[in-house]
Amino acid sequence: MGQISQRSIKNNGGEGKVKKEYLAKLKQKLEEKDFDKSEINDIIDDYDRMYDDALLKGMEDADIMNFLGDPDRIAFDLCDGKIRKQNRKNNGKIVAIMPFVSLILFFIMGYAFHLWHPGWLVFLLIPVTAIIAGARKDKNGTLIALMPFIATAIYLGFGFGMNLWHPTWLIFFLIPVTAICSGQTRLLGKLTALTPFIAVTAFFILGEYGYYHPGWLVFFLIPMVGVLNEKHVWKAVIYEASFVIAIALYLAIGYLNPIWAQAWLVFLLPVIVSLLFGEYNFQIDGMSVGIRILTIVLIVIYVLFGFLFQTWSYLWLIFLLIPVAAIIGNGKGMQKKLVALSPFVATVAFFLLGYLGGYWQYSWMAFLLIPMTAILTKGKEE
Amino acid sequence: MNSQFKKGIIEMCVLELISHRDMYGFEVIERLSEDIDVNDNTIYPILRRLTEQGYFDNYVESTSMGAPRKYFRITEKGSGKLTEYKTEWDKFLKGVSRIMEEKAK
Repeated sequence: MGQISQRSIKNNGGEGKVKKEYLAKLKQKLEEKDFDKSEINDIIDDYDRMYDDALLKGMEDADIMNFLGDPDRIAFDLCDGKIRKQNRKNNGKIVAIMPFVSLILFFIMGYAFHLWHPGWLVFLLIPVTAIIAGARKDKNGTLIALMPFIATAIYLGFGFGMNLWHPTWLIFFLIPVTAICSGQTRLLGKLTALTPFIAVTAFFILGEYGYYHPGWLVFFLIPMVGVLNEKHVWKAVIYEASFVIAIALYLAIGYLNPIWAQAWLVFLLPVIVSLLFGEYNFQIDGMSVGIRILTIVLIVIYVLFGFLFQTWSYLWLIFLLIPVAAIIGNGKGMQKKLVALSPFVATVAFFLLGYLGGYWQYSWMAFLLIPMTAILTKGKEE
Repeated sequence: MNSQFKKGIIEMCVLELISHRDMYGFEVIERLSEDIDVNDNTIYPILRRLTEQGYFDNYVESTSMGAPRKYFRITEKGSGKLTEYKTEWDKFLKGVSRIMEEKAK
C-alpha cells in the first residue's frame, strides 16, 4: 500500500477522500515521471473506473489500494510504454541544434560586424539552453543553475562595457541569494540568511559615496537580524538593545571626541550580553551552521584580500563555494551532485581561463561540461 | 521468481484472457489474481503497454451502475503475438520438462 497511510484510510474512508488521495498521489507520481498530460488524465480515468469497480464489489479502501497497487510502483511500471512529453522531444532538438546555431551566430557577428569579442558570448547559449531544456518541475533549481550565467553576463557587460568591475562583482551575490530564497520557507530564516549579502552590498554602496567608515556598521545587521531567531523575546530584546546602545555610543564617542580607535570598546557590550546568556548559536531554518560560518569567512577573505591586493575582479569566485558546499552537503546521490555542481565548476574554469589567461574566446567551452556531465550521468541516474 | 520473467508470463495470460472475450481493467486484474499472485500491481501497466503496442484496442461501454467501463479487445496483431507466446511457452515448458525428467533418472 506504500505511502497511503492507514491513518487516512480510517479517517477518510467512505467519503471518497481516500480514493481522491490515492488518485492524487498517482497523478503526482506520473507527473514526476514526466508523463504527457493527456496520458496522465487517461491513466487517472482508468484507475478512477477500476477503483469504482472495486467499490461496487464491496471492497474496502485499504484492500482496493492493495489490489490496484502502490502509486509509486505503478508510475515506475508504466514508464515502459509511456509517451514522452512532446515538448521534451522538441527541447532535445533545440539542445542538439544549439551548438550549430551558436557557431553560425558567432561567425555572422565576427565576419559581418567584427564582433568576435564579445560575440563569443553566444556560445553561452549552449549550456543555458541545456539547463532550460532539462528543467522539469524544479523551476527553482533551473534558476539556481542559470544564475552563474546571468551574473557572469551582467558582470562582463558592465566590466568590459564600462570598466565597472568593482562594484559590479556584487552581482555574483545573486547566486547564493537565489539559492537561499529558493531553499528557505520561513521569511525570517530567509532574511537572516540574506543579511550578510545585504550588509556587504550596503557597505560597498556607502563606500562608493565615501562612507566606508562608519558604513561598516551595517555589518551589525547580521547579528541583529540573527537574534530575531531567538526563541525568548526578552533575550532578543536585550540583545537588540545592546547592539543599538553600542552603535549609538560608538558614534557619539567617535563624533563628539574623535577617539575612534578606542570607541570600538563599546562593542564589548553585546559580547558581554552574549557571554551572560551563555548562548552562541541561533538556529536558522534551512541554513547549516557550517554554511553560515563559510559565508562569513568568505566575505572576510574577499574584503580583506580586495583591500590588500586589489583582487576584487576575480576573487568573487570564492562565493561559489557557498552553493557548492550546500550541494555537497545535501543528501542527494553522487550523480545528481555532479550535475548540480557542473555549472559552478564550469563558471570557475571559464572565468579563470578568460580573466587570468586571456582566453575568453576558448574558455566558453568550459560550459560544455554541463550538458556533458548531464549526458554522462543520465543513464546512472535512471 | 524473476520479475521480468513473471511479467512476460502475465503478459501472455492477459492476452489469453482477453482473446476469449472483451474485458475491462478491473475484471482482468480480478480474474488473474484468482490464480496468480499479482500483488506487484503490474497488470494495468501491462494492459496499457499492450494496447500501445497495438495488441488491444479499447471501447467504452456504459453500465447500469457507476461510470462507463473501458473494455479491452484483442486485435489481429494481438492474436498473432499470443500465438507466438504460446509457441515459445510450449517450447520452454517441454525443454524444462526434459531437463527435470533427465535429472530424475
